[in-house]
Amino acid sequence: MPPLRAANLLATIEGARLHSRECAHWQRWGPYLSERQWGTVREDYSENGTAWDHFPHDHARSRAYRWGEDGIAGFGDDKLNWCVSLALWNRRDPILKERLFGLTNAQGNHGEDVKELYFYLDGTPTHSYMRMLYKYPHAAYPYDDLIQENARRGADMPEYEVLDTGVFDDGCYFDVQVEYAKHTPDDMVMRITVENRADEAATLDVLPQIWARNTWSWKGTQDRPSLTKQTARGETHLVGRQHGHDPIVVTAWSKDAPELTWLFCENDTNVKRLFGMDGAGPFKDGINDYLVHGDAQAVRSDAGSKAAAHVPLVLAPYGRAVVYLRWRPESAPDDTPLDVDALFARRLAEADAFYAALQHDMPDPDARLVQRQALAGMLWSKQYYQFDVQRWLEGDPAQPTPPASRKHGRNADWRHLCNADIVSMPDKWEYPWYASWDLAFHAAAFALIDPEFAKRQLLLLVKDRYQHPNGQLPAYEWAFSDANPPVHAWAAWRVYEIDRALTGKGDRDFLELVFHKLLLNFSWWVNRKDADGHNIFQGGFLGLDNVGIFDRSSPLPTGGHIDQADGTAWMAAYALDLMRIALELAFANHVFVDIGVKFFEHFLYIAEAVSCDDGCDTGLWDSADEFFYDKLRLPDGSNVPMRVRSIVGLIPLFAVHVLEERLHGALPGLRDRLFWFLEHRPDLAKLVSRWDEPGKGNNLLLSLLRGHRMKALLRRALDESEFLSDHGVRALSRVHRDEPFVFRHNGDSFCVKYLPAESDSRVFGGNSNWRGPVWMPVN
Amino acid sequence: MYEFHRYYGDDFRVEFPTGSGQKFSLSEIADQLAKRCTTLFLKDRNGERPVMGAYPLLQADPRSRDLVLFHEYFHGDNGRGVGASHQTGWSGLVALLLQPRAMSEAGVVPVAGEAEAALVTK
Repeated sequence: MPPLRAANLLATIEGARLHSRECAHWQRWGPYLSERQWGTVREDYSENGTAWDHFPHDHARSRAYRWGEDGIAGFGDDKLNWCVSLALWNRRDPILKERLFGLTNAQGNHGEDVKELYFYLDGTPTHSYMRMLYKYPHAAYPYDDLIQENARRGADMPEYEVLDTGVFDDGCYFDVQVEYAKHTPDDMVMRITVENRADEAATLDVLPQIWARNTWSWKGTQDRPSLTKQTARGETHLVGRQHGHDPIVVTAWSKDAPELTWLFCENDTNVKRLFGMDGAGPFKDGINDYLVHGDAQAVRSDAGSKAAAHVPLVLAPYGRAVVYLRWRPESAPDDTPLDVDALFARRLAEADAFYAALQHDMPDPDARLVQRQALAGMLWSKQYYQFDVQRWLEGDPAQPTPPASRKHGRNADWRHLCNADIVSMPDKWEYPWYASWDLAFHAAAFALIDPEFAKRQLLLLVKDRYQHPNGQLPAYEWAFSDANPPVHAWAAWRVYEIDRALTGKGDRDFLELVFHKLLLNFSWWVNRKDADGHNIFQGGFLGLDNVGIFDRSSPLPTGGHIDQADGTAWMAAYALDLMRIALELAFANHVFVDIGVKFFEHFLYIAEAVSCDDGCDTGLWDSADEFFYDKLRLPDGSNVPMRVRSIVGLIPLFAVHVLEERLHGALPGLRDRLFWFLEHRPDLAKLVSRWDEPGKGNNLLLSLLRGHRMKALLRRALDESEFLSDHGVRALSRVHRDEPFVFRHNGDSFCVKYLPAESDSRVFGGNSNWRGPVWMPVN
Repeated sequence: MYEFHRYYGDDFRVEFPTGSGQKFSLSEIADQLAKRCTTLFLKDRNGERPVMGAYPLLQADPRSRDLVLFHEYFHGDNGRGVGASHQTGWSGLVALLLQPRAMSEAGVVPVAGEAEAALVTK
């Protein structure tokens, strides 16, 4: 390889930190709090799996979480032993703003939706510097208005957003910027900069807070963490103690406030408020009740497992104020005064240098800004994800026994799953749980700035604490057994390439580790999702919620099953990706040639089955329309093509690989094996372009589409009256605007119509729509 | 598309957009498609970002104009962000699309595997 230009990235201070042995230490603290722990499957102990109702937003301030924590601009260590976040109060709201508000799936007219304005603006991979912005109105937060107006609106109307309520009009709000900078890996500062955006003065209570995740209420242990106020030399600080961990020292200050008061409570459920039971308190909502209701009994002034520095501010018109919170190990006293603002300036400059290296040949400043914010969002969306399904089903020793029905309900077959890791989330409010195919895409993007993290994420999902013993990857917590498109091998290869380019060295151990586990996963697909054993796959929803006529994850109203063009194409692509990985590994270990050939053959079996012409039983190609369609197989043995022109029919384009001669010619034995197979199976060999023409057969094109069909698909994909929009390829052809696809069965009719924005149906959860919009992962 | 181009080369040209009469190689078309995706987030001629179509108040505020959200999906005609608003996970893939391809081939997002690279240097 030529010297890598990207080496610049690792030559920066942040890059060197990232590439050093200290990296794991630097990444011990990060933005690992969720934005929403309530309403999740993990916290749901209800009989019928009604997760949203079992733990609503209204309980969140009062009820301890079993499996995680949440907050605004949250930060914590990688097990969330300690959590830091921001609370605010405009003195008009009925509750402190401690967490982001949003509607549940049932409340939103298009499903669950966060109703807040917040932006992830910057970050470095070691979290040495992080920045976000939250907008908080002067006026009372329109909680009821948002709930009622969205309830009034039907699925045919847009969502009613917080901006539509008018509370942000005329600049009557605060811009609250939250930054973190690490002095050392364990010594860091939170800086909160509040700005009044209005031409009138306004009052705001700012409360940086720190607390221990509740680890004691479940086993009945008395061993609980504490934060205790101490005063030395006229200065107040907290000492945080936690069994098995070094004590920490916490300080908070602001030059812009007349006073700062530490308030304490316990991160325990307020059993009085929620269950009408007696309890000692103070509870999790103590600080809320003290400030909002003036209940002096709700807090303590000396110690607790949760503490907040109460900073009352009066902001002049367009006025500004700054509040700081610092925490560090007690064991490493550093009496040298720290110039905190200089620390922030230094870490920001390092972040600038890091991104300057990444973006050195991106001349457009707007493109640089967008890319940096996209990556900042990914960095901020890391989350501590804990879920032990066995424990969750059985319940905890110190808690009531959960309903027995759960043992046959959601995720009952996933008892091996035991997660307690930092995982990249799709969206920490709307999807605060991992989804296997999302995660694979995240890894590819993360590889640009932190390939080690990208590799760890891909390896995580194939660990025995995640992957099912039968080889399946966990889809997501709502139903780990659903099937997401199998893109893990694609992502592993992509991450391997980017990592190699950045570091100059290919990480074969990574590739081999993933490969072994994906062999199991590939076999799971072959054995579970090919109902007739014909190399044509199903798979159900495969991430594309409402793209088809029916809910593809449920039994069909017609009976039978659907042979899916996308499922089959993903599997063909999967076979090619595994072939490519095997051949890469074969350069170091010849043993892998054999399995590489296996995937070459397997690809051809799938290709033959899916692409055979009209009249053959398995083919999904429609030569009249020159498009791939799903095929509905009815119980009586007949079949009907589902003539929906959707992304499902374009996914076969993704299964393509050029096997170059310099590759297959260089691995001893490979060429002979390939060509033997092609000679013995001329029916399959015709799928491989010109392999037997002298001079042209050197590079082999492996694709589900020969030239004519590829052109035919592209003709539709690149047609602005069909798939091509100004901003990417649509998930459904616009021809269905005027010509909806209608399917009739036993007097019922099912319809797919072009809908460029939100879904008009709740059948698939209602908040995702694949019938017209543009989706990034398939673009 | 890039992989097809690796086989078919520059001589294989396809009309883009369909009906326009203009023909491009598959690699050029892939570049064009990637660019169309990035314009969801980039400022257009009017200084507005299509993804932020539902946030006129922020787009009109010079101090908020550079706040970008990464929605779950996008309006099929005008690009307005729809669904989850902080799906920086996969919509963050635009970070890869924004990375110049020239740089990609030089290193950051290479197209060839180590095995192939090793052969080139032999």
